[in-house]
Amino acid sequence: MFTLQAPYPGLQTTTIMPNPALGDSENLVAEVAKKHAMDGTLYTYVKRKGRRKLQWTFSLSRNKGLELRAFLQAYFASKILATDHHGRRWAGFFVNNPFEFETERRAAPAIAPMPRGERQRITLEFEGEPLP
Amino acid sequence: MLRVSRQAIDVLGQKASNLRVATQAVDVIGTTDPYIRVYRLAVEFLRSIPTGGATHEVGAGSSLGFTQDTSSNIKPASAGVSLSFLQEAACELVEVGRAAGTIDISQTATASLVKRLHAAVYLACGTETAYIGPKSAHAESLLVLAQSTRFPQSHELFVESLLSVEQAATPGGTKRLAAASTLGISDIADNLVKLRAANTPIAFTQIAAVEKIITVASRLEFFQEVVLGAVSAQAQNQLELLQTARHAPLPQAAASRLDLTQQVRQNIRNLWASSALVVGQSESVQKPIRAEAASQLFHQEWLPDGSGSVSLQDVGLAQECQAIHLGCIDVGCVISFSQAADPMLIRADGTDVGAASTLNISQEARFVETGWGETSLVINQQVDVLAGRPGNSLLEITQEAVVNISQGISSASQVEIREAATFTLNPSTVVNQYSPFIGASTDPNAPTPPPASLQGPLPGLETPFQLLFPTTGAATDTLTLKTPNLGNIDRLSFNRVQRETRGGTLVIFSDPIWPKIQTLVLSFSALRRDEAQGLLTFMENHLGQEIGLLDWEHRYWRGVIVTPDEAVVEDARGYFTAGFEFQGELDSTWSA
Repeated sequence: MFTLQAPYPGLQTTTIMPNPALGDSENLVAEVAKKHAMDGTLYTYVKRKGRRKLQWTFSLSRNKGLELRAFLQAYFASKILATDHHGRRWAGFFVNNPFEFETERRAAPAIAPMPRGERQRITLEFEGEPLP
Repeated sequence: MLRVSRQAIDVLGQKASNLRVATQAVDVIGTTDPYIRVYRLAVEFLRSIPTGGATHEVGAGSSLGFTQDTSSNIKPASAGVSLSFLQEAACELVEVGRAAGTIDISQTATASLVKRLHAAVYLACGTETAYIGPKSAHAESLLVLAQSTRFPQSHELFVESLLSVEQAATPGGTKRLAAASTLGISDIADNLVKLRAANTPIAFTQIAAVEKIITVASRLEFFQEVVLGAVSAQAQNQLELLQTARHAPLPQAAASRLDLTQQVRQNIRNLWASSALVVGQSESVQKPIRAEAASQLFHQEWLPDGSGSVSLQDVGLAQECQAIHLGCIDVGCVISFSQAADPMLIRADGTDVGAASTLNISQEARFVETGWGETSLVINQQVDVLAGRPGNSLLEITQEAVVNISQGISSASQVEIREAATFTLNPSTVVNQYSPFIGASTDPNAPTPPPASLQGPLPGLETPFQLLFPTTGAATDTLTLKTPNLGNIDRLSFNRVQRETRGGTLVIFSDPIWPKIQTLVLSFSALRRDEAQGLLTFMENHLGQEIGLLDWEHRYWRGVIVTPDEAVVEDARGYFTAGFEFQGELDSTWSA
């Protein structure tokens, strides 16, 4: 189970989502600049930022997609507390823009009040710091 | 009348053991005067105890006088005179009594024309006058001593004159009492010997400590003089005074007066004279109530008078402190003095004459209660040169004023406390539902939370997909199409600023009034020719205009087609594929 809460730290809204699809990624947000001296010595200059960039792709029902859509419309510029499917807590921002909800297939039955049952896919990119 | 007679008795016999027979004859010799005089000579008085039998107007007096003289004029000789006596006068049980004891002593020891002479005069007197009585008593004790030791024209002489006096006047247990202790000493040591140091140390400690009486007065007068008539001698005169005036916390006044005269005269060459005066005076007032303390210190110094000679001048220190009532206490301590260090007019063959004057001042004003205090120090320094010598006057003053400024500075710290709360209920059952858990927050800057309920389809609509113009009122142009293909995209794009600080902190900012763009990316397949042409005609007719869009979920959008140039492709015989992007927003208030 994946949880999104905002705004951080004064949490007011909680959105429960299913686990993301396989293929999620996590990488460092660090930079390394390398310089070669005249004598061939390699010098590296690093920038440590303490954050990590995570990418999750969710397959959601139409109703949950609309909920996530409303959540993003309200808190797209706020700090968000994300509790991922591993139980790790992250505090950061969604950095992708725009957010694209793609209706990929049908998913019966329809869940009221929506007339059609559909499945939507969205990929979220998140940059944040891990919380203890 | 008294008759003098002679009586003779002749015993004739005795008959019995207890019976005698005698004849008696009385001859009258004559008569005497009515008074009787009795004489006895060679009287030696060792002790005289006068007594008075009557209790009215009785006086008792005792006087003792003797003269003792001892002279020795041989070599090597010693002459010693020892005198000790005890005189006591006591009066008891009288109403008006007067007890007085007077001792006059004159003692002289003279040694002349001898060498290695030791002359010592020891005089110890103890005089005590005690009065025991309740009313109107007067006790007086007067001790007059005159002691002198002379050694003319001798060599290797040791002269010592030691005078020890102890005087006390103690009244006992009465009211309206005054106690006065006056001690007058005149000590002169004339030293006419060469290569000899003359020291006359005098140490005085006078304390007048009074409790619970009105007036306390302590007066100390002394005169000390050291006269040197020899060459290459050192004259040193050291005087230490300690005077203390203590105030008890009662309405009373304490006055302490110290008069001293100090002079050093030298008339020799190669002389170094120093006169050091160390004065320590302390005055502390604790919670005074109308207390007044005055301390006057005067001393005399030989100062040049500008006419080539020196004269004795008064140099005074006046210090006065007043303490007023607690509510308004002003304590002022003002010290003004003048000190001059000036070499005397010396002879032409005089060398290495210097005068040094060192003055140490310690001034302190202390307050117990909240009050106002001011200390001012005035120094006048003057160097007068009389005989062709350069005079230097160097005055160094270091003054430091430390002011602690108290300002009405206020500081305020405002703390804002905000709270927010969220909740989660049955999370496993809401993974497919529109079910945001929206709590509460007191933060006024918190974003508007999403709607708690889903903005669902409009009721009563059956159209799968329709484009309308205009957006309000009755539609004048409509285009009905089949539902778009799966894979349609609902795109949300926002205007926001994304920055990273130098420290690596990610900051994202967006103003609430900045636009939030919602875009529907739609594609249609298997359109007939009339539907494809109708779409092209509708886009051409309402190019750039706001149109209405009824989607396949029966929700009404209001917006603009932003990609009218997308191609319509006939990808099957008689069937076309078309697509466009629509930017708009949901309008839940529209009705057909």
